[in-house]
Amino acid sequence: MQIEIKNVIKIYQNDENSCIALKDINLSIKSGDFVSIVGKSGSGKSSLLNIITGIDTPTEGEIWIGNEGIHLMKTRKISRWRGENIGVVFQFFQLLPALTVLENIMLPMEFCRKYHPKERRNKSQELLNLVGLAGFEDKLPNQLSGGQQQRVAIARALANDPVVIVADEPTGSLDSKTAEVIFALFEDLAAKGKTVIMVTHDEELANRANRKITIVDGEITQVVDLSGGLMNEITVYENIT
Amino acid sequence: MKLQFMKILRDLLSNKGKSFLVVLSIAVGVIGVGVIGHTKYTIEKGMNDSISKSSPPNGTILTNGFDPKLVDKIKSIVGVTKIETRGIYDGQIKVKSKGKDKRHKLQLTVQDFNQTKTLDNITPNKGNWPPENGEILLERISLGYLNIKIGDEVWVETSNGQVSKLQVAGTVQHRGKETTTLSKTSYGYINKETSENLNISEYNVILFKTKNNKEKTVLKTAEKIRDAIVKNGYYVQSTIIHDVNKHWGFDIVNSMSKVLQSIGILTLILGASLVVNTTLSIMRNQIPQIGIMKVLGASNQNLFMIYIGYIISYGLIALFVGVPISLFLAKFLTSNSTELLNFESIGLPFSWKIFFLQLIVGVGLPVLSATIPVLNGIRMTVQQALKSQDMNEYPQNRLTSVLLKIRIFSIPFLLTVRSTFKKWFRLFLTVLTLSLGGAIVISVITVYESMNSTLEASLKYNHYDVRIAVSGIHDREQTRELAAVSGVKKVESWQAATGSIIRQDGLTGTEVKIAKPVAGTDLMEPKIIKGRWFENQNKNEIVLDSYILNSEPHLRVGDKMTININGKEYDWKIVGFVRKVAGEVVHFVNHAPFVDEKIGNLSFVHLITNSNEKSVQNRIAKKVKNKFIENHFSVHHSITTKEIKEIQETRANVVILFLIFMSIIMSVVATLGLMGSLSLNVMERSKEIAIMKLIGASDSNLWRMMMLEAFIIGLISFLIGTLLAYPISIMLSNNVGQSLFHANLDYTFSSLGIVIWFIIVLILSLIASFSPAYKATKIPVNQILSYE
Repeated sequence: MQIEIKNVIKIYQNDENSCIALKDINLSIKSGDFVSIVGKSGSGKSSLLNIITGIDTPTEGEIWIGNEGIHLMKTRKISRWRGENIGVVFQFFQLLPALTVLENIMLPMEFCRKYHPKERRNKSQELLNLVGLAGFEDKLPNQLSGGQQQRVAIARALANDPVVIVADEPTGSLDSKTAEVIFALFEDLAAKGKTVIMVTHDEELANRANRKITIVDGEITQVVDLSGGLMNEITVYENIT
Repeated sequence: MKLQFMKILRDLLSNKGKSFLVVLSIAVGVIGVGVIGHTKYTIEKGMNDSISKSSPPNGTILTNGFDPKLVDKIKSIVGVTKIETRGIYDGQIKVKSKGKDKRHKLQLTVQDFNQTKTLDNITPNKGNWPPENGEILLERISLGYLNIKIGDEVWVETSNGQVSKLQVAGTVQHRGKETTTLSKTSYGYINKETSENLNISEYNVILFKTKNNKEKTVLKTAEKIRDAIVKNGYYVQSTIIHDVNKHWGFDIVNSMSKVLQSIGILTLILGASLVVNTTLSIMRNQIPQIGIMKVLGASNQNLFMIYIGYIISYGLIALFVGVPISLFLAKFLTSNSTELLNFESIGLPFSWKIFFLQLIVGVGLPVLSATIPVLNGIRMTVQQALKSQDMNEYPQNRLTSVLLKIRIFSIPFLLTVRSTFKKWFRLFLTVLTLSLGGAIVISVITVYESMNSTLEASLKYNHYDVRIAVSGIHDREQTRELAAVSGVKKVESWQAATGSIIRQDGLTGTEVKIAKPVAGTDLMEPKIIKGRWFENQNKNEIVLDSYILNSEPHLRVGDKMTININGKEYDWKIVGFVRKVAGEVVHFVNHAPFVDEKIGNLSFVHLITNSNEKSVQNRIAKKVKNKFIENHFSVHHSITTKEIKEIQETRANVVILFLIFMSIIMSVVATLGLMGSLSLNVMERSKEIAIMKLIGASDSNLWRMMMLEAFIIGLISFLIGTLLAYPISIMLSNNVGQSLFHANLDYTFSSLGIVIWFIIVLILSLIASFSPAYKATKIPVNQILSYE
């Protein structure tokens, strides 16, 4: 599923001030791409992710994911659509503390009525196996380590078999060893054909994606094609259309 | 302004939704306590004002017409400080209403308007004062009841059959009389000249005041007056001893007061639980800020002052809102008291004592409930305080462990159930609020049903349609002959007498009416509440109406009771108490020696008519009364069972309406409690909700979850409320019964009440979940998760 971002501007406005978070962003992400987004704190990385996931709306511009215009979608419909099509992973895992590991993974399936109710448990178990946490089904999130929690969060993001995985600093609160394990999971997902968009501070990890996008002050200043693991092209984009 | 106080102010304003909820919760407690307190205070004040303005006499003696010289003789009796006379006669008033003639009961007072009356006085209200010849003044409530206006003409008929057309010259206020609204009797006042035309010019009532209000003094003085009356050749028909500190409406008001007190205590608990709930929530959210301020160098004292100031600010806003609303509601609740209890315009129902109580509920209670969490917050280390908002904590206890093992339901359902039980103390307080609300609603319906069944049971006493009290007739055959007019199906006459209880210390106590029912009569079905009914072989047994305990509280089953009837003393043994809530207070004896000795000369003639219509029964009663009068017997009074029922229903309805209003308030408070609790949950779980939205929860998912949470709380509260309703309804029903009838009501736990409350709970839960669910759907995912 292709992602097209066209002329997106995001301005945050309050009574006294306005702040331009994204300035005329144009970006195209092909199906199966593994894209990393880097930039300093406050550069607009998270704003861009929020707009891609439909968590936030652009002030101007269009976002197309496949044939769906996210910018056109009604607020009450977007949650269900996101649940079915985009898996989101956060830096701080955001698991629901009152649900066990397996229940956390099953929850999106129930919200989106994906799979037959009897199948959901098995599917969740498969995802838990995939992230290497078999045997942790009945644990509560607070009984797990940070890395384990993030793996559950990834399994949850995959619950409805979405085509796009969006991760906001997924390794930001993990030690380097655990971060490596988590990143490997994302690489694996990309290898299996999922479109992965990941915001990170870690240059080393960012360079392991297919493409690296740098954002400075709300503008895309660099898109680096890293296909094949080599930096074979560096381009400064003024405007991509 | 100090920065600390700026912080308080900005915190209040920055989260308007939460501030509104907190203020609302505190205000609900303030309103609940205020409505009840100010209402109670106003009614009690109204009664006291009425008493002081009407100046009730210590006693009233009804006799036959007497010479003015008798008054001079009574004045000289030691202990009598004031004496006044009136003529008081029963009659009927005929008015034109919507083109039709309507008859109503009338009590006519004859008095000299040129003399200043200070006992049981009446005050001019509207129109002419004093009335001229041919004019009548009406009690102001009677005028409205009769649906006529000043200047109209009315027909007045006295019990001796004399009819006269009078013009309504004006209205008066007679605070010492039970209002027409309750007694269904109108009160008219005429001068001497007018009374002569009606052939009722003689004064027959002596009102007296004694040197002090001690019961012993009053009784002794009454005895001396009675002796003087008899010595001068007159007879005493009855003596009524008044408690000068007791308003005539005391029984009704007292029953309401008791209900108010009970509900007041429950409201206080309810309000307190709301306040504690919200205060704890505020403090929980403020703990990370405490951590930050500690890092910045705030001392414990600084922090304590800030947060107590914070809570006080909420409390003061709640008082500012709650006190006027409570006064408005109290005013609404007491507005009927002018009509029902003949109070003056009551003005603003305000009591400083109650305001102080509101201050405690509005400010004291929140401060108290905040103290522990504030101190806990202050004592926390910086690290603990900063981490306290961590969402990744699910409390581990027995209940949550059990909940974690439940797997058969859907995940959103499980999440809702577990979230509901996560904050168990809040849940407890919310359930407590809603359960108490439910218990009160069920109890009120139970009291209503119990009151109805008590009234029904009481009216079974009277299997007759009309009772006429006649004196001077002894021959039962003659009675039957005279009463057998067309329309009468059955006549049964009971011998009766009026006498006075002679207490153990020899003093003459309460005046009583006793009757000897015909053996095996089917005209009554006594409800025995203590002791037993007669056993025929035993002689001189008496079964007392429980109402006598009002004036003679020392009487017990097994006691000997002496009654003086026309100067002769008779002994009876008390074998039981019956409860009769409607009609006049009559005690029953199985043996009537006073009849054989021709001492008691009263008969209760009971009629069963062919008609069920009140107007037809009244017409028949009038015919029978005329027959007695024609044959020179004196008719004291007559009443139909339907009239008794109407009077009792009016009295009971006052209490019931009041209870219904109270239960509405309780339901509103309970709903607000539930809504507040759910809203706090939504606010505190906003992150959870944002995550759910992020992973695919639609608005309808969130609506369903919020409604489910409300239903779970509603259902738990319903079950607990139903259980609580049982003891509360027994207490309320006994309180009401004891206040009104000096006996418990026929208690019937209302299954209808349970069904009604279940439906109310379902609807209330739905209503209460509406706002929180709406808020949940509007939670901005980007803002909630962005700070991470």
